[in-house]
Amino acid sequence: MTDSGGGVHSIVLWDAPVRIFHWSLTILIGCSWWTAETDRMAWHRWSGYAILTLLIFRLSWGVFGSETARFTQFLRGPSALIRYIRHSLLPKSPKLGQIGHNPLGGWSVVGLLTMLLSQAALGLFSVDTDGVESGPLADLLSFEQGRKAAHFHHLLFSLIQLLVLLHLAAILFYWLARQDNLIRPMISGRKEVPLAVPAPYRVGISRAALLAALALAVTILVINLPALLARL
Amino acid sequence: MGLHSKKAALGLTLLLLAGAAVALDAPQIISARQDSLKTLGKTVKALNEELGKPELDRALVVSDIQTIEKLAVALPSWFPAGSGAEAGVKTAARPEIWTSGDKFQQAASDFATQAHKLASLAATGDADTLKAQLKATGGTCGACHKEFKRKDD
Repeated sequence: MTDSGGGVHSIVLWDAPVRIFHWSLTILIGCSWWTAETDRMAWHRWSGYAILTLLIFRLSWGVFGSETARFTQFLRGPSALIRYIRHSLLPKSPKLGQIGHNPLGGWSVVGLLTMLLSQAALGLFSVDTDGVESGPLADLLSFEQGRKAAHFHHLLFSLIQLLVLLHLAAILFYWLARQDNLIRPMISGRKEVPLAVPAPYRVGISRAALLAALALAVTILVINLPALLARL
Repeated sequence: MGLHSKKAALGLTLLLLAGAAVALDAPQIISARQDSLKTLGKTVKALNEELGKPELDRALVVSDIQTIEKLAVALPSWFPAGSGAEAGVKTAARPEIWTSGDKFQQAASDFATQAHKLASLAATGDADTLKAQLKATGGTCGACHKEFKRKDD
């Protein structure tokens, strides 16, 4: 993006925690897929635990994190959503003075997070066809219930694949039709915006570390629930 | 009606009856097979959980292992020819069970061998020994499923 009259400046659009979250999740979804397809269930469980930790962290970062990570910053009501979609349909839409997730993208973030969280939760309860492999919470269910969980775990993955495709299609659309490269800022964090747009505020890395540690603690607690319950 | 045509009619009737019998049997065989495999899975899951507990309930462990061994021995009999997808019922059994020589029988016998080993440890083995042997036994389930079971869910 070159100077368009008013001048531009480079801002940190996505902070490090958001970017680390995004790319770790990308890699781990691939890992989960591959380990499931090749029956590496021990690794599949580890990958799932890591994803669960990431998701819990991202939810907390959506409340206590940097400006563009916060749900209150990018979740808009239906009227804003419709306005945005109408605006996007204009053949050469002028850029809006907003940064971060647009109203449509914001809801797709929520959609993806919800799907992935449900997927992780289902995995915790899933039982393999022969009862040999199971998620850490499957002890709390019967074999049939665990098989149902596995069935929905499998179905939901198809839906997640669809959402990921939509996500990629949107990126491609912004790249080709809007000349807006969304990938680069997700790697470097930086984006050039008009001078009139102020840099979003960022929260320190120590808070991210604390929240990540808490997320890990919650995951460890959850996967050890049957053992804890047995001790009571 | 001449003798020939009577004979032909009788033959045709018998043929139809036989056909009907096969058509009736296969769904029954398949559903019984699915029930047995479900029992097997259920038992393996229960045993896995039992072996994870701080104190073993030996009677429960022994009875679960006996169930597994019994089912492992019976397993090849659950797959008579004609009880595949051609029966017209939903089944995850792949045709390779009947078309790849004795590979399926070999896979089933691997399972029985491991199940026998598990049974020989049932009365005396500690949790870790049993867990390891259950894992080896479970490995034969997976190995057979990989080749002979359709991934349906």
